[in-house]
Amino acid sequence: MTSWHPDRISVESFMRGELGGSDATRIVKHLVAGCPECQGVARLYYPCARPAAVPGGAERCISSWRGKGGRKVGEIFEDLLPELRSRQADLESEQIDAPGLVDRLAQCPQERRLMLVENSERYQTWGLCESVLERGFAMGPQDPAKALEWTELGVAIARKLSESTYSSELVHDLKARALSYLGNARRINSDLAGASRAFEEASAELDEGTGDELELARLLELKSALLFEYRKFREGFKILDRAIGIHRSSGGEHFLGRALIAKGFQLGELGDPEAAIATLMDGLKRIDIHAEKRLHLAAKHNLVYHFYSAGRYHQALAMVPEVRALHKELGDTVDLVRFKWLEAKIAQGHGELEAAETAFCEVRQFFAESEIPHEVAQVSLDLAILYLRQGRVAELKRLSSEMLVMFSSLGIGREAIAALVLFQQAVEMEKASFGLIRDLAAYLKNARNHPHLPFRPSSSD
Amino acid sequence: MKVSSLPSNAAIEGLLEELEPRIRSTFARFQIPPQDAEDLLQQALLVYLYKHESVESPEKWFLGTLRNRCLGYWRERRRRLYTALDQAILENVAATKANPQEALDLQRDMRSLLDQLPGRCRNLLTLRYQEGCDAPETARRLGYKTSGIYKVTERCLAALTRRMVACGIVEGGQDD
Repeated sequence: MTSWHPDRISVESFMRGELGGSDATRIVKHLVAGCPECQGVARLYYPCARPAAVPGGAERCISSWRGKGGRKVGEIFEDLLPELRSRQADLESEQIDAPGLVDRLAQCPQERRLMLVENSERYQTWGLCESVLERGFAMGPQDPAKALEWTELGVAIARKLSESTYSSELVHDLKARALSYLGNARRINSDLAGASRAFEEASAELDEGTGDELELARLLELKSALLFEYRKFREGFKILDRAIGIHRSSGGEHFLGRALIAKGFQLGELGDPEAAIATLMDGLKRIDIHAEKRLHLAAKHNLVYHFYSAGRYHQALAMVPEVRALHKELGDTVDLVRFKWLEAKIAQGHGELEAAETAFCEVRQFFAESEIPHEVAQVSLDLAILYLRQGRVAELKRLSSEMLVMFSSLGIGREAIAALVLFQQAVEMEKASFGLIRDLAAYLKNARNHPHLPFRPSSSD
Repeated sequence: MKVSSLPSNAAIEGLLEELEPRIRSTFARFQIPPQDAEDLLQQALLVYLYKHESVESPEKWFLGTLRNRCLGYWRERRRRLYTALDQAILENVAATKANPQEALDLQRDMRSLLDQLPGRCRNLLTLRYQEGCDAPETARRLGYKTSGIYKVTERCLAALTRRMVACGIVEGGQDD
């Protein structure tokens, strides 16, 4: 170590990251050599919020904020007014233009949309990006392919936003939101690896963002859905609970309700209907039902299902008319048929076997005609339970043969077909049990996203 | 998106007036120098302007965002320091090539510093400073994704900085 020591001001500048060139290299060489005196000086200027961080200045800094000294926040606001007014005017004008631009984009094929976004500044605005993303997000449950197109477009717009116009941090936030929505759209389209990549990118964008925790909560909620899809329940609940914590502390009742409903869905998937019921009811109390009618309906639909799963048939039945009316109001045929399926299960649980059988057959027919093989499989297994319960062996044999033929033609995975063959053989040998049917139903549910999963029946009764 | 729903200046001013004591206490808690605090306040207000539609409770949201901006303020300063340190070490390594004795001294000092770091950081920084590997090469040799190596490098530079000033600054505190 030399006898040379850097002066205090140079060390302070270096620790602020403001000193470069030969001065910085000399200081670093000196500090690396281990001069305790200069290390002590450097330590005082280590950038963090602690008393030692601003020697002699920390107290002044704190007292200027705690006391009556310094400028009032209102005065600072006065200085910001011109900037705020100008931003407000720009944002208003973007919001006025956005619906028209979305309509124009809607009339173009995706390739042309992307070209417009790439080349025209009119399509590179915050207002349009938000509108496009919300459109894509809302389309998810009904039209996954279009949802993917619109969220991809949203990502393209976010990537073209000018950091000098909106600020770099805000642009990072919107990129994070766009990538989160893209991840969600990919998940809905069964591209789980792609979804994972998008969430990873979203997370990196958020690290550079404004610190708005609502963006983080949004990402965590959507990412949790992917983890649940992978059956990683522990991790999924961990990040969903973190999102719930953020909504609780930021006072967002509606968003808190939405996250609780998502948690309720997953608790039900995990096979805990009582916890699912409590969480869904908590969530339903908090959401603005006019803002998200679909979410409200989905939560109520699931609540009916979990009442049924918990054996609380009367409570399930009491909700049926209201939920059926909501399904009719929102007009989604597939969802209405799914609800009819649930009604059939409740009827079966309630001992109304004839009504249940008729409904199961109609639902099965609908899914077969709509070529939705996994739903056909599940409803067929409900029907199988009903036949088995009544000892109707001939109908059970006919049903299992039909299932095999139908699934082969609907393109269900090889492992699933093998499971169905096993089931058919058990039926033919009159050895099919409730346990086998339940195992098969659970297996087919998992096999939807893991087509190579082999079937291993575990129980018999 | 409804145009009419943008918050008025009067509403923003009202919000600030109501929150003034808590804003000041946040700045005091994070020891933000007054001249920099104005920038942080301005940034938080702009974020509110752009995000207000998803904000149900402006008071809670604003204070939470301001707190995160204060954390980000110190994080950004630490990043600047890590970059300056990294640059200076690389320049030192290059400069001492002409002088074998100086190069040996620097290598010895660096090794003694790196030996005090966790193995993962020691390996990464040894590749960077002593074997001259760039980020993609470091990622390849240590089995990291190229996209993730920058974050890992930053963490290692943070560890190196703390060790260099031999301070008991603990990771994961309010400033991290």
